[in-house]
Amino acid sequence: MISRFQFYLLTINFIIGTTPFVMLQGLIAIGKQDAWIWPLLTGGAGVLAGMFWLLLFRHYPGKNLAQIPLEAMGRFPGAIVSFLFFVYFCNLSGWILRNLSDFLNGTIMPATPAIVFHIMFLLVACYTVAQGAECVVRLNQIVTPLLFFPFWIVFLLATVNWNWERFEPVLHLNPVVLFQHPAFFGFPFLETISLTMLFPFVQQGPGRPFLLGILTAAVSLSILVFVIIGLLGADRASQLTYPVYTAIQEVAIGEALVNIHSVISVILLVLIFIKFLVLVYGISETLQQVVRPRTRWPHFLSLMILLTAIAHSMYENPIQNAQWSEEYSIYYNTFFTIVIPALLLVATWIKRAYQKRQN
Amino acid sequence: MTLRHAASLLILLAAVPLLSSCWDKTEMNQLALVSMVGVDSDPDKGTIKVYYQIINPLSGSSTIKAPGGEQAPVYTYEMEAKSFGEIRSQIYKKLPRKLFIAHYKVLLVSEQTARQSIRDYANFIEMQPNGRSSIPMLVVEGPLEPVMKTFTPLEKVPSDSIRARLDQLIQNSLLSERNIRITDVIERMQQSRSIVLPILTRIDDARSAKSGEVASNIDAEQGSFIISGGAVFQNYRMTGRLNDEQMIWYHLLAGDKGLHVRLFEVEGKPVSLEFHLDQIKRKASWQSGRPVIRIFMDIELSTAYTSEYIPKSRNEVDKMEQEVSQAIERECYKLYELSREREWDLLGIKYLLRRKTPDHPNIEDAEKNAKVSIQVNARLKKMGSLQKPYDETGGGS
Repeated sequence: MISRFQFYLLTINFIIGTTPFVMLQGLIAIGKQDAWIWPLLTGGAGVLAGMFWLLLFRHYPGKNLAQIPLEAMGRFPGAIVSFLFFVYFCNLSGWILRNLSDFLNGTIMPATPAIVFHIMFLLVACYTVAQGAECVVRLNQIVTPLLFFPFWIVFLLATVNWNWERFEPVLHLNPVVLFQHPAFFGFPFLETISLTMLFPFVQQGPGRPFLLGILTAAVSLSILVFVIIGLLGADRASQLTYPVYTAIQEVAIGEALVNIHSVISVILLVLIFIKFLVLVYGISETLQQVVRPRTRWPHFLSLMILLTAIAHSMYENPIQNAQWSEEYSIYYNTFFTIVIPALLLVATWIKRAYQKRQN
Repeated sequence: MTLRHAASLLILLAAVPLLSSCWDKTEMNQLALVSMVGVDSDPDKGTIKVYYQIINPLSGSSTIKAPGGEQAPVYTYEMEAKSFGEIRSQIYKKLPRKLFIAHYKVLLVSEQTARQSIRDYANFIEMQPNGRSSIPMLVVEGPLEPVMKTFTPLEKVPSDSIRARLDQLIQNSLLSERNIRITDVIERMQQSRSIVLPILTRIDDARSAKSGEVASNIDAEQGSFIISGGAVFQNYRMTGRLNDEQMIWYHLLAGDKGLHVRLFEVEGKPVSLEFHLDQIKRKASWQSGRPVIRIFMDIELSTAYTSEYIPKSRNEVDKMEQEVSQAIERECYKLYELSREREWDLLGIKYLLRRKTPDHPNIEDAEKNAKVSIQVNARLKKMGSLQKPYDETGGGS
C-alpha cells in the first residue's frame, strides 16, 4: 500500500519531471517577465482536470484507469479503450526518453549514442516496475530529499547573478496572449492522468494528496520560472535551449566552485526517471489487465524494444518537437485525458441508469 | 531465486559501461585547456580569426626548465576560417588535443571587429554547449595578435593577469565594473541599452617572445598592455569611447561601489579624496508630458589618502562636503550631456522609463525630452592615520 504522503510526493515529482527541459523557454518567450504567473493558472486548470478524473474514479473505488473501461463498457470494447491508454502511455514514455537523450547529448555527453541512454534507463525502470507499485513510490520517497535540497541550494548559490530589475515592469502582461497558447494547459498537468494507475494502492483515498500534489507542483514550477527570470532575464531565458542548465552553469563562486551544473544534470535525470517509472508502470499494468499474461518478463522485453523504437522515431529533431508541442499537443492530450474519460463517465451513467431501471 | 540473482547481476554488469560515461570519457592530458579567447575579423577577405590561448600543463610551480629558459605558461593557437563553426573542425590541423573551453576566463575582441558588430560572436559564445558566457569581455585597441602573444609578469597566465587586474580595479577604483560579462552584453543589447566594456591597450611594441625574458626583465611595463578607457556599445556595435575620467562617473551613476581616489578642488586648493557610493536612487515622474528623472546619490568621503589638506572644524568639513558634492554633480551632468549628444543613454534613462512607464507610446522621444537632475550628498565619514598634514615649518620656528 501507498501512504498519502508518498503519493503526494510522487505527484509533485511526476509533474516536474521533464517540464524544466521542454516548457520553460517557450513559456518565458510568451509571458516575458511575468511568465511565472502562467504555471499557477495552468496548475489551477490541472486541479480542475484532477477533480474531473476523481469524479470518474468515485464510481469505481479500488480500480485503476485500465480496469475502468473494462468494467464500464464490457470486455471487448473496454479492451480497445484500455489499449488506447496503453498507446498514450507508450508515446509519453518514448517522448520522455527522447527528451532525456536530447538533453544529455546537448550538454554533457555529446558523443554517446542516444540509444545507450534509452536502454540503460529502460533496464532499470523495467526492473523497478517489476517489483510493484510500492517499489516505485518508495524509491521516489527516498530520493525526494536528495533532489529537493541540492536543487534549491544550488539555486540559492546562483543568486549572485540575481537582478530584480528583470521583473520590471511588473504584471504588464496582456492575459489574452496566454490563452492564445493553450499548449501549456496540456503539458504537464494533463499527463498526470498516468498517476491514476496507482489510485487503488493509496490508503484513505487518493483525492486529496493528488490535488494537493498538483497545486504544489504548480507553485514549484512558478517559483522555478521566477528564479530563472531573475537569474537570466526574460530576453536570454527565452532563447536558450536549456535555461535551467545555463543559469546554473554561469554560477561561479570564487575560484573553486565553478562546475555545479553537474548537480542540476543529475537531479533532472532522476526527476525524469521518476516520471518514466510511473509511465512504465502504467504500461505494464494496462497490459496486465487487458491480456492477463501468466509470466510478465516477455512483456518487459518487448516493451524495451518497443519503447526504444518509439523514442528513436518520436521526432527527427527538436524543432519538430517544439512545433508539435506548441500546435498539436493540446489536442492530443485532451483527447486521451478529457474526451475518453468523459466518454467513460457517460458510459457509466448510462449503465447505472439502466441498472436502476432493471431493479 | 538463482534466476533473480543472475538477472540482477546482469543488470549491474550492464550498468558498468555507464560509469566511464560511455563514449564521452576524456582524460585530463587529452584536453587543451583554453584560458583566453580572442576574436578578430578580416573584412577584406571576409574571414574570421580566432585565437585560443591554451595553458601549458608543464609550466607552473614545478617548472621543468626547457633548454632555452623557462617554459611558456601558455601557447597561442591562431585559426582563420570563414565561420565560427568551421573553426571547430579546422583547429585540429594545428591542435593535438581536444579543445576544452569550459574554463576560459577572458574574451577579447579587436576594436575593428567591435566597430562592425559583435552579434555573431555573442551568438557563437552562447551556442557552445560547454562554454560559459559569464566571463568578462574586453576590447583590444589596435591589432589583436600582439596582445594574444604577450607574456605578463607576476601573473604568468595572461587571462589570470587580466582578471586579477579587473578585480583590483573594481575594488580600488571606479574604472571597471562587474557587469561586463558576455551575458551582460547580450542582455543589455537585447534591451536596446548601452554597455561600456574596458579597453586593453598595448604600451609599446617591444614585446618579447620568450616567457623567461619577461620574467627576468625588471621593467614590468615593457611590451605589456594596460586596461584603460571604455568602449561604448549599442546594438552590438562599438559606437564610441570613454576616457578614464568619464569611466569614473559612468560607473558611479551605474551604482558601482569601488573606492576611488581622485583629486578634487576645495577652496581653490587641490585635495585628493577617497570616495565611494553608499546608495543611489533613481526616480521617474511625469510633468506635463515630459519625463523628469531624479537621481540621488549618497557618497561617503574619506581623507585616508589626503596629504594636502584636512579640515579641522565642522565648518570646514561642511564646506568641503559641499564643494565635493557640487564637483561630482557637475561631472555627472557633463557625462549626461555627452551621452545625450551622442545618443548613448549611458545613464539608462530609456530603460528606466520603459520599466516604470511601460505604456507610454513613444519612449524614444520621451527620453530625448527628459529633464534630468542629479543630486549628490557627500559626507565625510572616515579619516586616515594623519590628523593633520605636516605644515611647512618656515625655518624651525
